[in-house]
Amino acid sequence: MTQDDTLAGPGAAPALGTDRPEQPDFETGRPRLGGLAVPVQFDETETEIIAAIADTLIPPGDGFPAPSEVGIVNFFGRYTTPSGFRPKHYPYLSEDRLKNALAVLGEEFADSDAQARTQALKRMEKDDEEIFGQLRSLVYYGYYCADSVIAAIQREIPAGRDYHGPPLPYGYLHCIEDWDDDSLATAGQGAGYIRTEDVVRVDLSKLTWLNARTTKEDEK
Amino acid sequence: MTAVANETDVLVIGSGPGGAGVTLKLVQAGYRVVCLEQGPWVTPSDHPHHHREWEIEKQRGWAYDPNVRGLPEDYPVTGFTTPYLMNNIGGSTMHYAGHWPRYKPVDFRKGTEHGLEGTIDWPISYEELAPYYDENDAIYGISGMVGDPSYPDRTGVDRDPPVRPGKLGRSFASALSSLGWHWWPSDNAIITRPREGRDADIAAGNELSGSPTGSLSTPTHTHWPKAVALGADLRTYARVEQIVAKNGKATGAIYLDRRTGQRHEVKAKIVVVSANGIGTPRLLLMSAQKGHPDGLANSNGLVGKYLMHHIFAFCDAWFDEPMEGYKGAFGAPLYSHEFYHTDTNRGFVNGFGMQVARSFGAAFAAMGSHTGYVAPWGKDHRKFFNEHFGNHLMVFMFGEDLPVETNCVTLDPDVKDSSGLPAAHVNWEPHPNDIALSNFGIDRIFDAARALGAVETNDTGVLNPPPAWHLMGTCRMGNNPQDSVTNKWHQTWDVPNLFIVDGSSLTTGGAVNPTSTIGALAVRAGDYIARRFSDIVDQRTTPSNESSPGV
Repeated sequence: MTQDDTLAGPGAAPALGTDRPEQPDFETGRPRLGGLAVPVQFDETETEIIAAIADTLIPPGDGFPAPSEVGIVNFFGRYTTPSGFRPKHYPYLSEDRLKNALAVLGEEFADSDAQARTQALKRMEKDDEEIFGQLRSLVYYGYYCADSVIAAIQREIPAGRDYHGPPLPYGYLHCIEDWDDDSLATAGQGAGYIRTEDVVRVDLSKLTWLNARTTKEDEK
Repeated sequence: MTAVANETDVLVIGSGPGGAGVTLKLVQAGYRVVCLEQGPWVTPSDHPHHHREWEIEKQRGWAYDPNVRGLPEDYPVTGFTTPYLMNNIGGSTMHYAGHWPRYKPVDFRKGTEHGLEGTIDWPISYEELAPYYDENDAIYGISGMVGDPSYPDRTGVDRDPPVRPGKLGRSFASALSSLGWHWWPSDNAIITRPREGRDADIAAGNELSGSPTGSLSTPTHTHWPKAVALGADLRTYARVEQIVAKNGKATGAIYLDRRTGQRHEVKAKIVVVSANGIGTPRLLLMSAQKGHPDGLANSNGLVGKYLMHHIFAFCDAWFDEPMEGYKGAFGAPLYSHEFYHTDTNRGFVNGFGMQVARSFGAAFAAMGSHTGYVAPWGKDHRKFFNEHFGNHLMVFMFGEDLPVETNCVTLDPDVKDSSGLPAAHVNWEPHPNDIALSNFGIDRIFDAARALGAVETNDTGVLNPPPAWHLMGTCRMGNNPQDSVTNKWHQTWDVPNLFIVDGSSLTTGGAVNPTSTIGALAVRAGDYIARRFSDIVDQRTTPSNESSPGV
């Protein structure tokens, strides 16, 4: 059996590497809630570049914190597939691919101003849509689940005053409107149903697609 | 090599609404039942609802599509398709919204109404199924309101109060009201009062990733604890590779224990297949054997054909005031059946339902809501997000798609699952009637959005492939061996003791979510098998609908 034979689909994907003590059970095929128990590690330069990417995609301000202040690098580490394993789950980003992309941006990316970083990311968006999309997904998902960002949503957005992130344990029963007599006043208006014994053949001569098909067949 | 053999009265394959409904009925009547399920139990801690990362998890282990999710229990589904199904105890109800409408009487008579493409009448009527709807609803536990004049009387079962609509639901109701269009608070398989150890809904949402509290009614909560207590032998990690037949009768099935790799055989007097509208035809086609060269129950070649998904379109709308769509159960708070019935003046047959849906969370808003409208990055991000989050509602339409013979499930000769069994392959293309219907529906939704004062809208157009939540028609019940795979009691025409009870059985799709109908059919089928067990076991050929012994 070749390796391709086993790459057929869900559940069939094998590990490219062997099980490693620092990533136990990674290849069970069931992604762990919360991402990796032991996040992928980044060196100082890589950390600074990820932070700069995130802060460029979602600039801080208007009461919202910078992504680099809310644990975005750790989020990247938890949702990147470690080197030696095949990325089987969203966002399908491997450690090697990510670190290569960071290296291409280089240390100067982190040191440059917002305008230069924006230009660099626009180039990446144009030249390598896939990796850009993966980075953006990690930033958006990672940023908008952070506690301090949820607090900012409550504070800064009128429609978000009750938003608390994870659905449970709190739910929204304490702050959601119910039906009342006024809102239900028109429920059921203008409706009826066709009884079984009243179902009859409809006039099919009015069907646009059927007429077009018939005309086409006649022309043949 | 077969390592273990054992015997039972009835073997059920699949533990979703079809298999669970049949099993519960049979064990209550005292029969021995073995149920084989290739997936595991899903436990409360498996759900993402308590995790701050709950939104990205919806793209991973809780993705709807098994090809994306890729869990060990999943099998590949190839083709231009997005199949939304799960393989675990409870089947795909572990990630459904709990929408619980019934078919209407006309839905059982579409062959009479127009008979286009492969459309035939059901061999049963709404009136025949109505008492089973009531019985099934009572088992699951539902919420909603009786009195909708677009349906016959539905007072045969108690309901909890409807899920709360929130600003989103009340606003959309007011829009429909202003247009003079029909609407009604939805029936949902979501309990709003506690029962049987299950918590009442607390408007938390995210039912599309299941419910760790049990407020979402699924067979995991509503059937299997009772059935197992009554003696049902529910085997998890049990992947069936073939249904076995001999001398024109099913004798059982061979399955692989996914944990050990060991092969087992269960022998049974009756076999019920409930593996969903893709899994069931896949399994029947995989069961080609002596006497059944084209697959089991497939002498007329109809196994896998007439696949229906419903035709879908999503429409996002944003407003300059809060809608707070992140609040509330993700069972739609209301529906409109204003355009449910055929009106050929529109140029097409069939109709559609309109449902307003919730918005999930902040990351979902940034990632484009339901229509891929991704928030820009950079300096414009903050303004966009702040104007869109919480000010959003989504309305979706889904219409009745025609049963077309070439829309079908087959086996993929090249792709295998992790046990080496062939993948399912789906071919589904929208019919011109479906497209015309859907385009009409999109226009009507935007009529409503404008009436409500939407400041911005975005839509998917006619979705192709559709979000295939609904897997229907691939082993349909019908009127004779020429037009269907089973008779009106779910017995396959070829093999009298082989039953099919799931979405495959649906003769037509209606324009409503199918699970309540699948559940009602399962109660009916289980009742029939229990009452006529000896007759069925003795039958050498499958009786016609007219000559079948009734209940």
